[in-house]
Amino acid sequence: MVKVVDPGMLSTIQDLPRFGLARFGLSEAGAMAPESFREANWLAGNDQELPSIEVTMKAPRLLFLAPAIIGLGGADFGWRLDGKVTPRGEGFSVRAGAMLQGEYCRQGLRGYIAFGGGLAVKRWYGSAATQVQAQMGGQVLRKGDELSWIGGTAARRCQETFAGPAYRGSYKILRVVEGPHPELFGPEAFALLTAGLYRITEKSTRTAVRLEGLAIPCPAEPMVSAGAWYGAIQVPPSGIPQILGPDHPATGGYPIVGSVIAADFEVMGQLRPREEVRLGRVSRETARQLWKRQQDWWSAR
Amino acid sequence: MTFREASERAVLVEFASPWESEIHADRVERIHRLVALLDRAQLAGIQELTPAYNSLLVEYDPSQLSCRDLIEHILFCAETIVEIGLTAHPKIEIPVFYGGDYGPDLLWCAERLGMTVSEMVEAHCDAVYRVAFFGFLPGFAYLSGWPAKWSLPRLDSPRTKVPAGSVALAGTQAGIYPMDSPGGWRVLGRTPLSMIEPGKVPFARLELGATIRFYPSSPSAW
Repeated sequence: MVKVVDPGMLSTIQDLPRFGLARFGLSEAGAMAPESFREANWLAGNDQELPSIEVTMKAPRLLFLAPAIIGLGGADFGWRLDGKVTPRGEGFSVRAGAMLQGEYCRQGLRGYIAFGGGLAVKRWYGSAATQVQAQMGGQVLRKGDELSWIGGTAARRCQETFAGPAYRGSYKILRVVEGPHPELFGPEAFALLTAGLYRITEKSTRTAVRLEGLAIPCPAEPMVSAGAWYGAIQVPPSGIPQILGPDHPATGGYPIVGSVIAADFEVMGQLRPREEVRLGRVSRETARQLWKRQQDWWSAR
Repeated sequence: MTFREASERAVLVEFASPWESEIHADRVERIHRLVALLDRAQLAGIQELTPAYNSLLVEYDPSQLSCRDLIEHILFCAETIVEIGLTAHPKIEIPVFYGGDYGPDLLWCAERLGMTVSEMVEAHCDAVYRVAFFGFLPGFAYLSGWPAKWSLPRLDSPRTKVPAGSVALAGTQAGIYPMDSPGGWRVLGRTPLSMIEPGKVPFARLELGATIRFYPSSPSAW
């Protein structure tokens, strides 16, 4: 068992997304930095993604009441185990009575604590993911919560360090594809969207990453609500685009100019408030190849 | 039916233009039928189906399914759309405490439509509603069936907190707030029934295509 001494800023149980409930108005949720989530699980010795703790901005403090194998993935929270810096790029054993803690993250925004065998939490409709916006499924960690895990066999060490693309450069790039109604926006809209830098605002959540920057000319006529999706770039009447996250509303009436590609969800999930990002256009076919390459990279490990 | 690639992993199937704001019951029914057909066929790679008034969003995993195969599959399903026998839609009766603190806009709506309060309640209970689709909040069903001649505008500025169970109207749509939420619809009353039960399967009391009727009740009956 592990006891939550301090939950940090926002720590939730995340898992693979929970598909199938959009028809009841509930979006899929799931890890918002999916590659880091995979990395943590891989380091903890898990062959697949299992329920883990998603940590946002500030590390929680966890007291281990039993020995465990854990993997830490994603943003650098300056993790320490009983005051000693934890090794990067490898999973490790934790003894009973040890305290895991960290600080505000220095780079990136989200990290994952995976446990050998995964957290022993109730799955609802096949997933333990927390839809934070609706407070449904999973669990938002509170002080005093106790969690147990299934128990794994052996931690892993990685030779190549993962977490390349998310941390590179002074500004980050999110690759985007065109939306379903290009004729609605006119030819300049996509050029504008991909021309300048956008700044991430403090209002960004798992529901949407909110931006500051160039306004996109927005169609005047109101649209009828239609299904929305993770990655969709909505243009509200202000013209300032926002990118939907995994806790997005299931349907929405704002026109959608394009989508951040799924292969870049990791980069998007690691964007910090006040950081700058550039949107770069790719074709849908390229986006699918990039997605497939990412899947293949993991299955080859 | 028009197919639009919404992203590299989603297809938007449109049954009318995205501006077509008039709600057609037969169009909504066709969308529900397509959902049922796709459910039945269980094609590997389809991840999520999100119906709305005029469209169905189909999300898929491109490493399992190509866009072309997906569209072909949807067309194949759509060919049998009129033949499919749907399981009977449930009929659900919803008790409502009308007016007072439960329904702060009841009087305003009655006056606007030139009715007495009891005529307004009667009109609301006489209408037969259908669940067209869900959205805005988990378990929030958009109900069609409120007559167009009595269309009501939204509030000029939304309330910061509409309590769970609030029964409301906006335009020709009806709805029930499943949880406390900001909201701009006109609130006529409140139901003691919970619209969602987190953790349960199914978690929503209502479902696509269900027929809904409201009836007046009072807190003492509960």
